[in-house]
Amino acid sequence: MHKLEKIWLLIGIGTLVMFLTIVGVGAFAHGNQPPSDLATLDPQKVDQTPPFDEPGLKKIGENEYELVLIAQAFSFTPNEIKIPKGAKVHIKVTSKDVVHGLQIVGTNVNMMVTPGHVNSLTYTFKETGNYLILCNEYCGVGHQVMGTTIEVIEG
Amino acid sequence: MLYVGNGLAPLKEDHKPMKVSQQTEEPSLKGAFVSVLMLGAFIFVTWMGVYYLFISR
Repeated sequence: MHKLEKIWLLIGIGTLVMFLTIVGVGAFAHGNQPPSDLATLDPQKVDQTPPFDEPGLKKIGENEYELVLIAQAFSFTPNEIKIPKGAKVHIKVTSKDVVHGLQIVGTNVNMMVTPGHVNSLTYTFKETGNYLILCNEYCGVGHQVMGTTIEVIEG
Repeated sequence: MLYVGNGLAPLKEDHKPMKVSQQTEEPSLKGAFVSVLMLGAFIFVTWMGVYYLFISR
């Protein structure tokens, strides 16, 4: 094999191993994993299935909250959310009808919302301000207006 | 100007007679090496950029 080929193979494989290690350690040691969407429920009984029978923000600890969201065409329930700064929020969301997406713009919160499944993600809001929640999965004629805002306030 | 060659030896005007001792001309891989290094650097930098964005959010 040519000497330059050997050098390039070394650089290529080394870089690949480095990328995989960083992502792997992040996933298994730091919990940086994609939202799994594994929990299931009956999509026709969303309003009766806890915790979706009471959507909204619920305090579960010292600056720790659970945000239960229901996505439907074409809104998120609740559509007014106020969270104190620094709060750790466990977001749980499901859909009543079609596939939606839930993305908090400018953050790592970005996941699919499929009927019959509960998707979840935990996020800490470190800065105050208004965060836009958007549906980023085409869901019908009103898809472009589907969204709401989270207000993170000094608290 | 980037010259992307295919490593073939340049066509000679005069056809040399068959040599008893064959000298195989090694194709120059220097250009290809520089190109892949540049590509590798691009991949590395953009990967780090996106990873940093992810960690910072």
